Amino acid sequence: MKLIMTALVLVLSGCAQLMNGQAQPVLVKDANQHIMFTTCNGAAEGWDTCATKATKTCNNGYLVLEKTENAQGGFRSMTFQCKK
Amino acid sequence: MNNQIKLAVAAALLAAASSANAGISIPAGDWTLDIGGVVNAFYVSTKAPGASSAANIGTGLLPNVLAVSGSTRQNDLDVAFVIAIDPGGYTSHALSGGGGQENRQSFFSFGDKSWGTIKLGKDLGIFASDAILNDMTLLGVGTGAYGAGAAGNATTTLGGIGAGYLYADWKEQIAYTTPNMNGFQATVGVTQPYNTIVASAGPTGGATSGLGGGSTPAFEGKASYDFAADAVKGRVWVSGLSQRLDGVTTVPTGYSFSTSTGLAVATGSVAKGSQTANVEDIGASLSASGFTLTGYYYNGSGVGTTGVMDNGLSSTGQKRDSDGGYVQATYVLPTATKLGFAYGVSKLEAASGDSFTNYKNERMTFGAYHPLTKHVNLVAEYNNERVTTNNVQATTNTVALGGILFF
Repeated sequence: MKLIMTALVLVLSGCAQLMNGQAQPVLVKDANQHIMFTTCNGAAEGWDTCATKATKTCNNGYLVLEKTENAQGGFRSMTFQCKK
Repeated sequence: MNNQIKLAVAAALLAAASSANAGISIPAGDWTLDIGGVVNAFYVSTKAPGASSAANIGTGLLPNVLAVSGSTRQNDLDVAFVIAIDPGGYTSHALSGGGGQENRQSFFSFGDKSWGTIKLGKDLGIFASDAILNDMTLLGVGTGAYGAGAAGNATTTLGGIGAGYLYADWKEQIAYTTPNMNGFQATVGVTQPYNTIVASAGPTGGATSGLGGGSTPAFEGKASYDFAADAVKGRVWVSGLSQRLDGVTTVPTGYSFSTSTGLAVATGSVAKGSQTANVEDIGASLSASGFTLTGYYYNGSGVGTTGVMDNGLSSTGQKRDSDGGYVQATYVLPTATKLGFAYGVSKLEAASGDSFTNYKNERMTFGAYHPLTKHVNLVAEYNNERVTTNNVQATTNTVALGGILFF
């Protein structure tokens, strides 16, 4: 019984962890100019999530300043400026 | 003191934020060095035609990667370099050295945002690069998983390569990329010409070539346009490749024995000549409200299938036509898990001298990709691959579970 309970706790805690995926953060690159930087590397994120994070960060829209992409592992980064 | 600490923290954050790969950044004099890469492993269960299920553990479509890059500003130019080593994870027998090894990237570049960038060295090919970069199995497994006791030290599986698009490959190149002009960007370049071979991933038979492009390199180019409306974001792209195939050797139709030497001598159409292979593609990817839909199509002549130039010529040296493409739909759940479905097909038409009438490779992929942390993705994929030759179909099913870490 103890073994079953332990296994159940492990499975439930593992599932809880899976329900809480972590997005790659948006960093402030220049606070005065409202310039931000984010990545959307890997399989779970893509250019769509970079754009979604920029939309959520900027209330009045944003301007893409630079996008970089490296084929080794789907490395993607975007520098953007929030509109005032 | 507090101000100094704040400045140091701000500088470190800025350096990290400026890193293209968001790896480990190290200021080094005039240079900013970045160490980045990928580590991945998958449990793969494969059921191939006429074989019992095979269980293997190995790397997916990407090998492991350790890349060192650097960037600086010198004499009003942005200067950068990348050198990477790419060890695979799959082994099938003892004392085999721990897996295969690739060397995919080693290039430097210089330029300026006002006029563009020139790149010299080995990097992802220009033609069909967007096709593989938009493939959801790029960081998964896809097709071409290892069979039972498969020989050698394979570094990767194939993802959607050969079942929806041709492989852009890692090529020595000299390329010019324009500045980004309101979302429009183009790249043109000369790349290392390839020989055509008779590869196992394709129909049997065919001519080969041994002199690359002769006196000319391969020519490649692409153009893309990124756009973002209020609710819809996306990219459209086109690319192409043209290359002369020199030193084409056709397959002999038979053998006779020399009366003087007693050795076998090839008879029939053994000849050397040249052909010019061409291929173009077009693709688009649209995203809205967590959904992303991608469509891609290519059409070529003499470029073969799976690998560029592989199986491109018939046994009499005639160009085979090839085309294919894929559609892919993904959706991001509130848990940040991405679910995806893809269907791809690559076709190769028989030419004069071929013993087959048609060749087709299709795949269906269902995938789930979960960001366990910001640098670790868990991956689950089911893949169904159907290879049809002369209307006879062979089906391979694959289930893959694993993960990938990128830094």
